[in-house]
Amino acid sequence: MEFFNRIYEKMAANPAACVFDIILTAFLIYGVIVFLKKNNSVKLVLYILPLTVLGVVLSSDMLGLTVIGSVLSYSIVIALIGVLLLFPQEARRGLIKLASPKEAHVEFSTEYEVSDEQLHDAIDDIVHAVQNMSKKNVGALIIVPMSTIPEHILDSGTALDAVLSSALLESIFNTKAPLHDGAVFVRGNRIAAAGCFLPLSQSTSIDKELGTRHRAAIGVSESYNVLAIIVSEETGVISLAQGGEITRYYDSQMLTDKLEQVYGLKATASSARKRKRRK
Amino acid sequence: MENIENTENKQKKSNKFVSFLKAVFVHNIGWKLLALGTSAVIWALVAGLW
Repeated sequence: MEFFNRIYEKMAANPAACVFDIILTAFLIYGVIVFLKKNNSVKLVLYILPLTVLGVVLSSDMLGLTVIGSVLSYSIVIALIGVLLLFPQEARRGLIKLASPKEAHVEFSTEYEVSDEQLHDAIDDIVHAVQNMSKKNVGALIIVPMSTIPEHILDSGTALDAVLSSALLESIFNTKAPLHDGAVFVRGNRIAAAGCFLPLSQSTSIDKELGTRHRAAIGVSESYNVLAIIVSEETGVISLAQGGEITRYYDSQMLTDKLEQVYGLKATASSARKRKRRK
Repeated sequence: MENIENTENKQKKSNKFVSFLKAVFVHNIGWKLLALGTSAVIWALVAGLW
């Protein structure tokens, strides 16, 4: 009962300050959630939030747990060190972002400024190009980002910002073209950049038959929220990498379905019919 | 001509306002509610136990 009386007394004494306090704390917690989401570690929320609540309870005056209370009072410092150890690159980039906010990341999202019809056309173009390259055994690596991508990855290639077409994609990956050796970044119905170099996966569980292109696709999908489409130069096999996992032997229908899902499109019967008619 | 520009400007402003409202109340609403709920729980625990 004393617990509820204390809450009531604090509320009654200064209700505006209480509400302000709760909202400020909510902002802080939401900031942590957004940070973890951007780094594909949102599952950590399931541990951090209950542990925070437990920490508040254990270090309270009412329980009188002196030792654990003192340890937990340093928990914020421990948590900060933990974040720096877990996300060293992100911490470094965060500092760079503070120094130059416009340069650290390029924002990608699944909300595009173009119509669904144009997105369906872009998907058709990607699938068409991938199929053609697969038939001719031309290696390709196409990245569809769904969230932020560090600027240095895009800067490692050549900025294009060109309207996507199957001919353009095939031209880029033509083995005699200067941009073929790298990844193409696609946003909506535009090609953002080509010839980009990606971080390679260090995983030892990757099939030895898979080459550097596949390893790069897995590497970028481990670190960032992206869909990577790979066409093998040796076999022409189409594979997809997402969340550090690679799935091989995709056909055109599976690829279309996956891209529609990533682009946030629902293949309605009418749009499917329209596309068929156009063909 | 001016009328058209004024209407376009008003539309842009209202679109910005709508997208701001959406950003606050629609996008990631689950996570926002979780943050608010946790914050309220923590506040209640601190107020009641400390």
